[in-house]
Amino acid sequence: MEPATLSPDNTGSLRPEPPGGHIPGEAGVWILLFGEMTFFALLFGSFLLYRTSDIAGFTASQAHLSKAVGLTNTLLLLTSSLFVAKAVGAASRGDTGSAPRLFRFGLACAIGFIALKGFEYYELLERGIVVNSHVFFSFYFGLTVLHLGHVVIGSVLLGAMSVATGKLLTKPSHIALIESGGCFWHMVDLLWIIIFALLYLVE
Amino acid sequence: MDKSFHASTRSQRFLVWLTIVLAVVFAISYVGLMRFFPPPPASLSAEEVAPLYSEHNIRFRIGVIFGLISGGFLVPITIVISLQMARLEKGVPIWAILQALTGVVGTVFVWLPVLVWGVASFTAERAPELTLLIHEFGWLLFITPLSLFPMQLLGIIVVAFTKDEPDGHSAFPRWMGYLTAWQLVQSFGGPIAVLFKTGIFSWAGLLPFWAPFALFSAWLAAICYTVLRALRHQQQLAATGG
Repeated sequence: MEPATLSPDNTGSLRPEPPGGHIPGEAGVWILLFGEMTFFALLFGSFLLYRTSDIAGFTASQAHLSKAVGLTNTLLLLTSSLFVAKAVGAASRGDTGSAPRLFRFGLACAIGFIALKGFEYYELLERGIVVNSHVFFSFYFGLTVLHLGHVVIGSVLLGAMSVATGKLLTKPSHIALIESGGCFWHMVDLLWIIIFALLYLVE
Repeated sequence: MDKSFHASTRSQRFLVWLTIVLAVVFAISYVGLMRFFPPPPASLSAEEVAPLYSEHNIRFRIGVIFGLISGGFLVPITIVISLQMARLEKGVPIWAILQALTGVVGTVFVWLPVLVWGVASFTAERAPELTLLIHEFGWLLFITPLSLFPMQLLGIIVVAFTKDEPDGHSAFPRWMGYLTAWQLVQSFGGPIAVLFKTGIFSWAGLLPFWAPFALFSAWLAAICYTVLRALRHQQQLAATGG
């Protein structure tokens, strides 16, 4: 096993490699990530449980959602995740030029996601579809509003990280924090993919 | 580190224990006397809500008395957390001030609902619709106000990630920063309860009640533990003149 070092390793990272392998971010952030994912898993489980009692009603309600809008939002988040992954890599190599730019590209996708979600809500409300139209829509609004809150928090983090990575990060703990922020964004992306599958695709 | 922020570690430990004792009293009155655990469903009609207060009326009102006495249980720990934050901040401890003020004002939303439920139980024989109104007011007051709590948590997160103190000696190890960040992210479920009367998004459901309840209990226990551990360390430092 290689000793911990602050010089760039073969991946070009400035972060010392702890013995036993590299945990993305740091151990602590997984309290947040696993915690949030467990919590969402309970919500998804409740959705499937409610769905079994009224599959016809859920399918009929689902037809009101636009798969194209959902898919566009999925692509936006996947693209932003790619930018963020590249940005975190750039930040850990000490590339103060491209890291902030890549974070801003990721943020632009996130803003696109938020705008499209707003459009989708507006469209549904125009057609008179609200939270109590059907249990399906209770879940639709509940899950997507909650997820949207995560997107907003994540966007604030992306903005903060684009500012922070404009300067060279020298402390390993700062790079760990950037990696943790990136992991949070990937989690937001992952949760959306499951929400997209459950609300728009399951038949 | 600014020495002027050092307060008696003994007083701080006393305040942490005051929080723990009051929280236990609050839990007993809330769970055992008011019997609001699990919460009554948000979909109850006026005729279903009235008996919550008229049956066992005296037991309920004794619960209200103890709830009113202990409802400020978050204030002592809030102050100690801010003192511990101020030790670690450079210059004017702005995050400690934010944490203290939002924590103290935020405690109103723990304490005041008890008084509102007290009003509901005070004249239990009134028209059921009136009791329903005050009952719903109390519950929405308890579950949905959010604005201050995330600000309070934000200060703790910032200090946990920027401090210059080894994790083992600090009241805010990095994992506490992440646990608090989780609590912040999670807390946004509360206001959603305004939209729902049934299911997991209603005030008696998984999202606004059970998840925040479980996480908040764990978070409070964790921060009491890390603060007491940090105070023990500071006491040793003071004893050895370090």
